[in-house]
Amino acid sequence: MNSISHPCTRLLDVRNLSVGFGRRGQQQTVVDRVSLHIQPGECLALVGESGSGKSVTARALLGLVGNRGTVSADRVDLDGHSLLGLSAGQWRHIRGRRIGLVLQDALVSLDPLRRIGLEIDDSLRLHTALSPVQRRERVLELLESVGMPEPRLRVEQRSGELSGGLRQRALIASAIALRPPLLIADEPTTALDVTVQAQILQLLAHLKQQGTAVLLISHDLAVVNRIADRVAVMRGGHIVEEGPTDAILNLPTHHYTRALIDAVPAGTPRGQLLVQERHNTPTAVPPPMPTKTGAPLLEAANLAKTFRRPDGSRFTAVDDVSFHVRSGQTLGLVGESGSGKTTVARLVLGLTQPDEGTVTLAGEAWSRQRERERRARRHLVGAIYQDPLSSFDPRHTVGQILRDAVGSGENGRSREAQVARLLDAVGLSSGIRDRRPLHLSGGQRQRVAIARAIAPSPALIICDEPVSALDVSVQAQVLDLLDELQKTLNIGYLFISHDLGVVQHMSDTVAVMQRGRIVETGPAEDVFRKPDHPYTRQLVAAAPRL
Amino acid sequence: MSHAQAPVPGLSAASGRVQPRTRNRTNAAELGAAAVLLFLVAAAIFPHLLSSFDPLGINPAKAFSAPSSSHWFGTDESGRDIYSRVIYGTGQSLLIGVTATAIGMGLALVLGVLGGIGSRSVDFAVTRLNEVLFALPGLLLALVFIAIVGPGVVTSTIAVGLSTAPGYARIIRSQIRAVRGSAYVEAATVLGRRPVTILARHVLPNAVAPVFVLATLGVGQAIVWASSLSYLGLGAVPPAAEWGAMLSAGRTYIGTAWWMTVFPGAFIVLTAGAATVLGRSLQARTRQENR
Amino acid sequence: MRAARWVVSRIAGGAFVLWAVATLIFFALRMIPGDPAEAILGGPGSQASAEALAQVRRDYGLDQPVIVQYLTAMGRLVTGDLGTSYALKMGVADLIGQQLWNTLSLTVLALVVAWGLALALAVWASRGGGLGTRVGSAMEVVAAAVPHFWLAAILILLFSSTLGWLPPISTGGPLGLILPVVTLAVPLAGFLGQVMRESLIDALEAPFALSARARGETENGVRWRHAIRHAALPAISLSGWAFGSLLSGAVVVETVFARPGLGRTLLNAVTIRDIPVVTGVALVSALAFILVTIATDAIDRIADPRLATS
Repeated sequence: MNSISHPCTRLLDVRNLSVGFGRRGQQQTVVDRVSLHIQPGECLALVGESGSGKSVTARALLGLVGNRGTVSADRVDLDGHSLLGLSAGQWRHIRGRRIGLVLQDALVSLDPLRRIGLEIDDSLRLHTALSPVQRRERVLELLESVGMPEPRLRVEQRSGELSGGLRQRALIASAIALRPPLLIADEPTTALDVTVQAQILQLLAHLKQQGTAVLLISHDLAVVNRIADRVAVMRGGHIVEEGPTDAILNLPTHHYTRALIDAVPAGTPRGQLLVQERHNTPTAVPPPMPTKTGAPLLEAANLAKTFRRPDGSRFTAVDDVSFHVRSGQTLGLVGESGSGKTTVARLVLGLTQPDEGTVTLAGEAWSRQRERERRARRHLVGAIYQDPLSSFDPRHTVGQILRDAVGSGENGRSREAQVARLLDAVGLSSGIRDRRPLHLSGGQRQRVAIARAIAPSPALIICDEPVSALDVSVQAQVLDLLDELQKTLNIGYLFISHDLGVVQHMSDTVAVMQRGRIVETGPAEDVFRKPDHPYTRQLVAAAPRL
Repeated sequence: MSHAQAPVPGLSAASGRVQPRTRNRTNAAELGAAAVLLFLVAAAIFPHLLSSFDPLGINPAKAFSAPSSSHWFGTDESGRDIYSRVIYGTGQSLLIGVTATAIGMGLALVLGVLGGIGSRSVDFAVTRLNEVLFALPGLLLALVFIAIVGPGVVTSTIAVGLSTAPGYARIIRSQIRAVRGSAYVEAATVLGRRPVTILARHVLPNAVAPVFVLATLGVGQAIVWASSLSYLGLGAVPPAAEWGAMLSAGRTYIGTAWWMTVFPGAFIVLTAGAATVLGRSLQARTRQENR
Repeated sequence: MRAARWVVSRIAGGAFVLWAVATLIFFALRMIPGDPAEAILGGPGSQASAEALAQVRRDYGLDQPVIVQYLTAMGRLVTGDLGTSYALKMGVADLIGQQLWNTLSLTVLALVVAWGLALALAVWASRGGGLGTRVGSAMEVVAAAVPHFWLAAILILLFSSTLGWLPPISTGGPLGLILPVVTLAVPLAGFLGQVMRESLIDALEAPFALSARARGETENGVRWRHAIRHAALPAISLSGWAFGSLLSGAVVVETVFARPGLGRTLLNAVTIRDIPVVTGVALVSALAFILVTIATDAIDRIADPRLATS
């Protein structure tokens, strides 16, 4: 590309790297003639959706694509030395010493059965002649340098005993133990809470300042914006566009890059579609039952719920939580993991009984009732989950799932017609009817889940992290669909998410949860623009933006 | 609180792993297993078509003949043709295996479903009972049962069924519990379905269907155990043409007439092996279909 | 503190199971038609005189009400008195004491050999060789399909009758122990090997293995420092069950190899319906099984701290 950097300053220089899998003849190319380069102290972000080949590219740079993959390239130079055709022993000399790797979620990326001190110690043991005592000192220094509190205590713990942020720090410590000039970070902050994510990004930025080159692999443009100097956008094994971060994010030239940026919900006003071309217009389904005039659709008052821990002690999951949802409106419930969002969802769905407080639905009592009494009004409330696949009976086809949701009240033919209408409303072709959810894509599965949720004509739908597992472009389509359905069907949403951007885009009102309590609530625009509560301010500041 | 899960042959989390390279080979094994089972069923129904001697016909002059072209598997201490006896014994041996499995599965279904859908106290009681039965692992429970009731084909069949029941019951119970806690059962509740409907439409089909696949594997195991009891002289008794009983007779002559032991035993191995191979591939298939 | 509570609750659970087994056998016996006194005097064929029967009933307390008999039996059990053998007229506890070591040495040895064999198989298969995987799969079918008695017969034919290397009868010497141990260990190794192989392969493909490789760890380092523990965990959990299945297999193996031990004692007692011996062996086996299960679960909790906290 039109890079200004000179070859001599390049730490990593890759020309036409290709990776294929499968046997010769029927090989599938996953990475196709990828070229990239990084200078010391620079961060290059490789951005793409799942299946774009970004992680395989990273593994190829470490010689870790496995036996079934074949790697070819015109050039892969690290510090002027070629990495092509290295023997297993030579690769081991590179790994850890010249290139470090940080993966997603240290809970599984660090051996859960070994103490983290030992995991970090391994790097030193493999590449240095330090004595065990010296190594231990070094491990403690490393933990300190990545901002681990009480390193002497932590060194004896295993990844499962640490919080997400701390164990990610430990993982980084093990990767930088030998101060490798190149650090590859593959989705290093995915699955972390937004405030923790900000801390980890800061740590990576700090390493960058000290001269480490960082190759950041990410699906999240906003994360990339925080730290990357240059961005390369990958799709289907190709790099479609590459350039300085500002230029790429503000003036993308490739249509795919533009679509990716448009799909990011943060900053897009409520009600505006994220995907430009509309695929279909949902046809009207019978409007929901009108609620008693004046009363909000859903009213939660002073909800409290405690759970017993395995050791017998109790912890408060939800503490004095009150909110309401109006017809056709969205209440966004935002908070980090463990803040009690999902417990709130279960209380509102009537799956868990509150210890204190009440839930009122359309002016009538909903909680503190027998399930038998609630059942007649179950059709008023639908639910959409983060993992739609597990919410479908694995033995059922899409058609069976939807027929079941339509209910037995209808006769066979009108049921079929209803299923066809539902599929149409969520933008699925009727050919999908005989397939099982297992064989559908993530986006299709979530559409089926939405179709099931709207089948009984509900007045309210609880959306619990409905787009968290989806790629950004698919996420945008699903959010658009939810938006359109709300407009046509006048459904109220309780929209639960950890993602501030998504909540901001989807909500009329927002409630911020922290440790079981709602710390701030108000119109979405106000809460995000002028947050009142310190915690909200911290969240908003931590959230990466485009 | 629970002990380790006893493995039922072939039941493990990862048997369904997709490995393209092993795919064809598995198919060859499946084909072989199916052929063996077909042959055994034919032998059970039409033994006279597959053998030329009377399974009980004594011919002392030819006692202890080694395998030859006229007596493929040799003859026993009374000069009876072992091949014919093995063929004629197929029916009874298969019947014992199937009956024992049916008894074990029936008992396990009752216990497992009770524990799976019952209240906390019912589950507690069933789990404890299962633990007690489990404390006499394998054949020990069968032996105690026989000691109390007395030996014979019928008691040994029941005994084998009884010994296999706790393992199956545990699997059924945990499967039902897992399905009951699944997100799709919750989704059905949110849709306003009654517990009975959920049980019938989601829980039982998903929890119990795999059990029928297990039963295929169980038949092989039951035949092995029942033949062991016969071999120990507690099941079918010579001169009955039942594989275990033939082995029991052969035990005395293991030093001189090895064919009396090897061939009937080989049929047990073939049968149980075929059932295992088929059961496992069935399992892998259903697992692949469902997730 | 938590560990102590766990141990106490497991021991209490084990005691309950033992009591329940004893109770179940006791009442099952009382529901079966037939006169125990007759059995004591040698079965229905013995044609014992009425006086002799009455004498035996008095001696064994069979003239007492059932509940008294039950309480007496349970009281004796607590003190370790397992009653008197009908046939051998000696204390069951003494009888078992004589045989216990024979069976324990056989089963424990078989368990160790099976573990070693399973581990070797799993590692072999994980080295990427198709052959190792194939042998492993074949072993699984063997484990499920080959009865102990047949395997024993084949081994005797091969190594005793044909090659003459090993004795067909397992008397005192260590040479005689080889065939019985192999007979018990091979099928068990098939089961354990399957479990180990699958978890070993899973562990080698886990993210932490990738992290280790990216650190510069060798394949052997990944295997022995990381993956092997993950492979061992489920096999440790299964070892309680495995020990139980070995106790059961010992009945057959001890019989085939004419080796004195609990299994053979049990079989003889079952054949002549010597109920006190059957009950005694069953209870001791259950006790051994329960203790081994508690031990393996404890090892599991030490090896995998996630279990102890969850």
